Amino acid sequence: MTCDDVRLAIHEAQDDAPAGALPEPVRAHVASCAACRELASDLAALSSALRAMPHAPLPAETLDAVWNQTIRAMPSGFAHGLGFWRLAAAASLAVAVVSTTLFFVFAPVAPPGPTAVELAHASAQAELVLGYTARALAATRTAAADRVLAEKVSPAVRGVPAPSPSRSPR
Amino acid sequence: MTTMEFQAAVLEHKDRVHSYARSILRDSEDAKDVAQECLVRLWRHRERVEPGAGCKNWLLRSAHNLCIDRLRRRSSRPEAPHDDEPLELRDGRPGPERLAVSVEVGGRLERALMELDHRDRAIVLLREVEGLSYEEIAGTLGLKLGTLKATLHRTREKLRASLMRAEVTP
Repeated sequence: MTCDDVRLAIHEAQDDAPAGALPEPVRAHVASCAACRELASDLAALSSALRAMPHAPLPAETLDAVWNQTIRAMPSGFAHGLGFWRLAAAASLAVAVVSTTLFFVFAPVAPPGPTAVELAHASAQAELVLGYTARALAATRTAAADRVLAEKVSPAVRGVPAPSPSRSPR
Repeated sequence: MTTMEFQAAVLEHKDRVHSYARSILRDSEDAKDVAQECLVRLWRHRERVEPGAGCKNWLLRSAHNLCIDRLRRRSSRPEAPHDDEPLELRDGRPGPERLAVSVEVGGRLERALMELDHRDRAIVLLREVEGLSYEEIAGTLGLKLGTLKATLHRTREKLRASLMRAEVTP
């Protein structure tokens, strides 16, 4: 294995994240070659140094300008506008569902009206009852008149004294 | 992406975008403009951009395209003096990687990066600093994978040589 092969292998190991281990033949070469050992060491240190480089802080006035052009530029109340409209829609839906449920659960149920057949039947029964009642009343009235004629009027017409009042048998 | 997610994405990636633009353009004012435009673009396209890693890639791709536009416009004008002020290592957080990089190495590495062609610099930054995949970088820069890897290997060697010339061990 030549130094050029090893150089490539060292770079490829650095390409991995995190840096991968060197294959065994490469390690054997590195152990015996001072130049390649130095290269491997330097590249590892360079990679660490680059990763440890600090970021240059963004100046506060630039950050302020960013806020001014973004969230501060929104109309008042718009920052949470999407959330507000979502909340309002959800609340409306909830109210509609609850109202509909309560209506069906608690609304008074109107009794179904009578059918034409039922009305005709009831009417016939009523007429029958009224007929019986009328005939009964007429019979009672006739019987009472006959009794009065027999007890009060006939004796007077015939010149006989009226019998003493007595309780009529039931 | 919601408004809240946009805010979080800006705060997470603003320094990354600014730093990338600054490294490519080598000009602080242009870098601020590009970072601002890039973040405002994210706001305009927020309905199409998913938060997370996709957002980071989208921002870096957008920043790269804006930088290329600026470089093209610049090339049609007389060359303006570059702002070669090296990055300050402002991140004072203790950490194994950060402590491993001295201010001297960081400054020299920044200068070595600035000596690269802007395309080579973009490849190194996107791969080594930002950790994008080869496929994402190839898509952003319009390169074939083989060309991309070969360029990255060559660029690493250039950076190493530059640091060795400056007698700085990476």
